[in-house]
Amino acid sequence: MTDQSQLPEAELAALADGSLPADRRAQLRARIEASPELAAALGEQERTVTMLRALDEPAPAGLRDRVREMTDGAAQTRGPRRAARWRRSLFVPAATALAVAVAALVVLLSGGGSSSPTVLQTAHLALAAATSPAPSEDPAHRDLLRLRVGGIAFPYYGRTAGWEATGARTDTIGGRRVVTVFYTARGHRIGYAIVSGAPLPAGGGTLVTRGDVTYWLQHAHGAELITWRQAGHTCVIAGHRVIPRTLLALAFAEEIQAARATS
Amino acid sequence: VRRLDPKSLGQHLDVLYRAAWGLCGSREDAEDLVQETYARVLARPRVIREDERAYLMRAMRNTFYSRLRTASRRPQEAATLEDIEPADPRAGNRPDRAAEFGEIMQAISELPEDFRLAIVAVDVLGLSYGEAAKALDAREATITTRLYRARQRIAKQFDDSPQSGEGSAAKRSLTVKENR
Repeated sequence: MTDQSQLPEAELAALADGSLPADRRAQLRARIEASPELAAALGEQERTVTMLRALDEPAPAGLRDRVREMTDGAAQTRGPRRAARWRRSLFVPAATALAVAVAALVVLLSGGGSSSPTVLQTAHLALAAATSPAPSEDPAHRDLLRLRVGGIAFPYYGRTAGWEATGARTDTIGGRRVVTVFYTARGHRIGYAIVSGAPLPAGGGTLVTRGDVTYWLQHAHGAELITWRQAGHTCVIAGHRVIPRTLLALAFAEEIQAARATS
Repeated sequence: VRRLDPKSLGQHLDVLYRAAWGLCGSREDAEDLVQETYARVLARPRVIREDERAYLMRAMRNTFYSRLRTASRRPQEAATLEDIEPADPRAGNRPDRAAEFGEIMQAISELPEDFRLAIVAVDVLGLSYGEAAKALDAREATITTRLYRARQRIAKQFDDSPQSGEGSAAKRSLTVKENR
């Protein structure tokens, strides 16, 4: 049995990863040659270092995209001061051009003259990166989070279904607020978005009716999404690599929870 | 002392992701941890005094603790949804490597927390002992001791694991590397 206190642990660790100063190396090597125990201890250190330094698993593409979106956004809002001065001189025409471009994009994406977001735009947000922490659990309703849009509270799926809320974001499209909460479970991520104001036109895909509620199942942006109306608002749940049945179960759970919260 | 450039942070993503996996023990938690770390760091302008990677390690450690605290406040029942697609598209391309990486990260995540942080900071992220000590608010001597013991445990686990046949993917990989 090795007595840890007798081993020059720090020096063995440093020798194994190459950070031991040269003047100490020769002396320690001499000790190791005379001690099978030290040699074995160094071997363990070296094997682990070799193994860990050989790891080259890249980050998943989805995470890379989300991080790039965040770093690009932060870089755009924080240019150097010199650039800020330069920008000011061009601010009015640039802002005008940007506003026109964004307005045109929204009109194009919404497929007509309406400035309301479309279901697909909402789904896009539900698949985007979180920009703020997840809301906390509502102590008054243990199946809900403390975040509401138009009286609809976001569900807390953690206790019943294992989907933990991990982040949120708020966007405005065409003057309509779109609030999204993101949930993860077993390596899968979904976004649950609620659009403020009147319900959005919905259609296409597969229809599932449960009670008085109609759910539209669609495939878009490489993801599955489900749309339904609740308390006069449009709700969208979307996720990559999550089958529609799972999304539907979560949508049903939300409907049940909402009924409990308002009863 | 300099301002943190958001644009330069993307270059650390891969290594930060591996470090996060070592801390959390799962790919999905690692993704969330990395994303939340970046969101926190980028939430406002930062002035840093150390290497960017060391700064990110410190931010990730703080985020990791914050997530642990949040999770501990939420009582959970066992997840019962069985109908989630289990497929990992990357595993289909190189199943051996995916298994190997997962095994190693799993082993790291099972180390005591102090050991885990030390080995992730030095051997996965590539920080110097001094940088790791600063990022983890510990003395350099403490870091080296924790590192030594963490490496020792990992080595023993892969050397002694009672796998059948040829052994685990990670052990096979280790053998190949040693025979080169």
